[in-house]
Amino acid sequence: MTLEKNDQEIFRIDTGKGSPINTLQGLWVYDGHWVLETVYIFEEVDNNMATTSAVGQLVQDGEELNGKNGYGTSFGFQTIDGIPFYFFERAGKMDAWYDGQEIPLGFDNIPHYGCCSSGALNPQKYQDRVAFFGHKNETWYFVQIGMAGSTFNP
Amino acid sequence: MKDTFSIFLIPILLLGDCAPAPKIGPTLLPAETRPQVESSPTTLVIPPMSLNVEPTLLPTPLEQGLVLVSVELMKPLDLDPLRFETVEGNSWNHATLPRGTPFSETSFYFEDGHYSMQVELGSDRLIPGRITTTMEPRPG
Repeated sequence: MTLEKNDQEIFRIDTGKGSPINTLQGLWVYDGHWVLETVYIFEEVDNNMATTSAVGQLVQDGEELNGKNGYGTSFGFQTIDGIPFYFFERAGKMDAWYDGQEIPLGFDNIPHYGCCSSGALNPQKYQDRVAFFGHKNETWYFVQIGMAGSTFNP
Repeated sequence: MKDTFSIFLIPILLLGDCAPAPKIGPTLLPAETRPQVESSPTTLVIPPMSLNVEPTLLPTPLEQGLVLVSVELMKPLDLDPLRFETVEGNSWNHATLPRGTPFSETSFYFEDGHYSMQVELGSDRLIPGRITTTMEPRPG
């Protein structure tokens, strides 16, 4: 996948094997920065069985955040009230990042990149919040993170 | 001059269909075979609709003005989440979960000093939930 700015290629990234998952998740521009979210598809073949896995790759201004910050995967980029937000996995725990700070959610899993029926559990993005499911300690949670004073209030 | 971004994808031939989603049934079971969900305890006290609740800001690092509301789901998610229907009766619909979220239809209750909620995943697929953080009744 290549990214061009004013007809000049500025970034190129591998997205792995083909998959029903959309390997281009989005391109955002904010405050003079750009962020590209892509998915790398791994495929393991064992005789006649092929198993795929997806790893989110967030790139900010050409710098891959997984390598920079030690993430196993980073996904779900969006802005909340104009400020960047995303999820990441590090050391087996899934947390979030917003406005330069990590939000310690501590989930074992946050379903994402699901296709077809499992896509119903993907994080839902809104301009002022994100809604998602998380799993930890054998329990599922439904979580919303958003701006105070938005539609959170009944 | 405005910057123009362009993305180019290398076309890939896809063979086969999407793999079935794990644990999530793509279709509803016939009504007579669907699991019956237990009804709410009869001791539940329904709060007056005028009762306000206000999310409480979490401490650091959510000091940027973010609010986090976490609801513990009392059943696992390996149910069919594809049908969402309106909860009628003693419901407080859309109080905190606006339309568009997977669990958009909710019922809130107040019991033993705690708010609890139910989420409907279909006509007979209630998943009881309990708000675990940040929801507190406004004094007065």
